[in-house]
This record gives sequence, structure tokens and C-alpha cells, in this order.
Amino acid sequence: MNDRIDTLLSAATPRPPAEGVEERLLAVEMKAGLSTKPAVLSPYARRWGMTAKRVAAASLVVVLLTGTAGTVAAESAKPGDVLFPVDRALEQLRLLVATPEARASLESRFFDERLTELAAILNEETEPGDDVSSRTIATESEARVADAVAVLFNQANRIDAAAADERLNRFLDELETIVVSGSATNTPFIKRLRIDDRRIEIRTEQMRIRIDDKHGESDVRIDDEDNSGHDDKDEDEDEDDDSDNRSGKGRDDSFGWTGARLDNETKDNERAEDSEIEDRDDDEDKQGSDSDDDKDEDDQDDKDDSEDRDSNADEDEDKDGDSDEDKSGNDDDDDKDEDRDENHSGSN
Amino acid sequence: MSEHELKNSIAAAAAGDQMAFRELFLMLEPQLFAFVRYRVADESTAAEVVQDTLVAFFQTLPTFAFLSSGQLYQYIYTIARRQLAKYYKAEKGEVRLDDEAEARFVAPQVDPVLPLDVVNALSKLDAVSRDIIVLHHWARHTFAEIGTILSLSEGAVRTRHHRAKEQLANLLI
Repeated sequence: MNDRIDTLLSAATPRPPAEGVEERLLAVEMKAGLSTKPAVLSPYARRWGMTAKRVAAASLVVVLLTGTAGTVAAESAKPGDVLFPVDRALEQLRLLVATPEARASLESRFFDERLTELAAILNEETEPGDDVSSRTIATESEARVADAVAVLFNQANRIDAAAADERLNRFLDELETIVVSGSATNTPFIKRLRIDDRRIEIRTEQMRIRIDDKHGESDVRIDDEDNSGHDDKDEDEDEDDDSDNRSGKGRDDSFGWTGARLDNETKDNERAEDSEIEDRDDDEDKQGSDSDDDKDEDDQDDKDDSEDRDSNADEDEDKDGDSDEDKSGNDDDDDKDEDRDENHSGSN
Repeated sequence: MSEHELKNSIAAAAAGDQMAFRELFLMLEPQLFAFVRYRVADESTAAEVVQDTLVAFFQTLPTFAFLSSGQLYQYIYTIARRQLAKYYKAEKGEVRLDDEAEARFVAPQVDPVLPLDVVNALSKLDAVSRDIIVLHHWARHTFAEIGTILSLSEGAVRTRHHRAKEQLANLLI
């Protein structure tokens, strides 16, 4: 009888959708404001399929170049930080020593890192604006944000355009309205940057890139700055006119990243294979521990049930009555958690 | 995951280790989903509540002091109950007590995915017994962990579990 019930219950176990695990993981990571980084050494061998020789060689070069402490510090560096070039150099090193199969996956991961870094920078460099839904960036912080966006877009060129499009859209959905005031930044590349919940606009010396969110789809326009026929002064008027199409070079295309791009189809296949292998590993690990645990518990359960029924019947009722007062552990933490929840939701 | 491994993963994830964060996510998401799923009407709502719970948990991870797996799960399910309470409040537009998250059970007719006979039988159990069944058989927690989560002794959990299974057997077999 017990076996039959166990089987019925086990078969009815609700499970989260098998698809989209990586997306859900990324969403939690970004919503929680985490800035996680891969560990420096041992995980590479498993996750990137590197040989022991390559791990050893890469480790040696990394240690020689930066030292362990420097490496760890560089890992958490963001655009604008002193150690960020070191972080990038380490990433290039990883790409060099990675197998061709793992390279696309690495590029994709670095794009996620750039998104996380931009989110962290926006969080650090902005403050509440005039109304509840807006935040502003101080003029002196614009350059740092612009750097982060430029680095992000550069990385987007190196991955599948559709994947970059999707992740950027998700990122924008999470982003509160950000208004960047002022017309100039300290970077030679970007003259003006504006980000809000419907649009990203970047103006450089050569071009003007505008990405509008139109009913969940990205509308990308890239215009030559010389042909746009206007300057910074009339920018605000121009920005509000969505029907404006003076240059005639506007493109309606899923993120029309320019520049070199790897073969998308090959990269997609490689990424799918990588994620399949990882998912399978994780599932096997989990199933192994679960089944062992369950078996032990059920064995114990059968033995102890008869004893417990008599000896704990009274205790059971007492505990039920006292359960609210008897909570052990983290009451303080729970209170903190509630406060943070409220703050978090309030800020959103 | 053993207590030691769990403790190390918590510490590593709090320090920003991507692998540890991933391991914790993959371990906690199915458990939370099983706990939340039968309390809400559809899968997407369950996924949303689980995500909010995980976000709240990972946000507070740097200040969380790990003592035992039971204490960890008690903490996480407390967050899940609060997220459920928020969902009920938003759904009904009125203030609800956290207790509702404890006792709530979705009407079977709005839940076509789960086997109706099992869902019907579970709905006949009292809230605590139902939680014990769900936490043990669906979320795969040990009786000791369930005891900590529900503030009961391990023996009391075993006793209630045994009675609940007898009741389910009468209803299902």
C-alpha cells in the first residue's frame, strides 16, 4: 500500500518547466542584483572541457601576469574601474585557451557579464529623479555609463544577434526609467547617451543608433550622423518625434549589429550542446542524491512509524498548539528580509 | 547535498561564486516549485512566485548565517509564504494573513495539469499533513528538515506523515 501511494505521489510531482532554466537563472541573478563571476581555476576544466595541460598552462600565465589577488580583484571589476582592462585581458586569455566549441559559450557568458556590470553601474551611479518612475545620472557619471554601454555593444557584436536582442530586451524590461542629461560625455566615442524604459539612443561622431521597444519588439535605426541634418540643440525636439525618418537609412531589423559576427548557426548549435551537457550533469547529480535520501528516509520511516505513533501523539498536539511561539532560528533575519522585500518592491 | 556542502555553497554564492549560485538555484527551484504549485492556479504564476522567492533569498544571502539545512529551508519557505501572501493580496485586492498561504489549496478544476485524483485526495488532508506530504514526497525533504520548517518535532512529522498516507490510501486505492 505504501509503495503504491509513494508511486502515485511521485508521479504527480509538479516540476518547473524543463526549458528556459538558464533564462530563469539569469533573471534571478539580475533581479537580485548579484554580480557573480565564474571561479578562477578548477571549474574551467569541467565547464569548458579543457584538458589538464591547458588548465595548468592558463593558470600559470594568469598567475604570472597578475597574481592571484589581482586576478580575483579584476574579476569583479566593472567598466571604468582601474582593473577592468585586466578583467578583459583575462577574458581574452580564456578565449585563447578555450576549445573552439567552448568559445561561443564563453562569448555569450561575457555578454551576460557586461549586462550585469551595466546594471550594477546604473544602480551605483543613478539616484531618484523628480518623479517616482525616473532616475537621473549625474553629469560626472555619464562617461562611466557610456563606457559600459559601449563595451556591452562591442560584446554584442560577438554573439548571436537574436540572443543579444532577447537578453537586451529583458534587461530593458527590468530597467527603470533613466534620463541622462547633458549633451557630452568624456568618451571620444559617445557624444550622447539616453536610456529609458522604451528606448536606448546613442550618438557617436559617425552615427546615431536608436533602439525603440515597440510592443515587445525592438525597432533599431542606425543613421549616419552627418546625414541626420541636426545638432545637439534640436535633439530634444527630434527625440520625441517617432515618425521622423529624414535620413532614409533607418533599418527595421532585429538588433542590426554591425561589424564582424561569428557564424550564428554554428554558434547556436555549440551553445545548445554545451547547455545540454551541463543540464544532464546537474540532473544526474541531483537525481542521485535525491533517490538515496528518499530511500534512507523511507526505510527509517517504516521502522519508526509504529514507535512514533504512540510516543509522539501527545507531543504532536502540544507542538501544534505552540508552533507560533516555538519557531527557532532566523526571526531577525526574517524581519530584515521583509523590510528588504518592501524596499525592493517600493523601489520598483 | 550534504550539510557541509550546503554550507560551503551558501558561503560561496554569497561571495559571488557563479557555480555555487547555479547549484543553489538548480537545487532550490524544483523544491520551491513543488511547494508553491498546488497553492496557485497555474504554472506560470507558480514560476513567478518561485522566482520572487529566490530573488528575495539571494538578495539577503550575504547576511544569512547558515546553521543547518532545516534552518535554511525554514527561512526559504517563510519567504515563499510571504510571496504567496503578496500574490493573494494582489489577486484579491484585499489584505490577507500569512496564514492563508499555509492553508490555501487550489480547487482541482482550475488545475488540469496535476492528476486530479491525487489533487483531490490531497485537498482532503488538513493543511499541516498536506504540507508534510508535499515537502517529503515532492520537495524531497527529510523528516528532520520538515520538522524544522513546520516547527514540529521529527517524531511528530513522522506520525502525521504515516496517518496522512493511510488517509491517502483510503482515498486513492
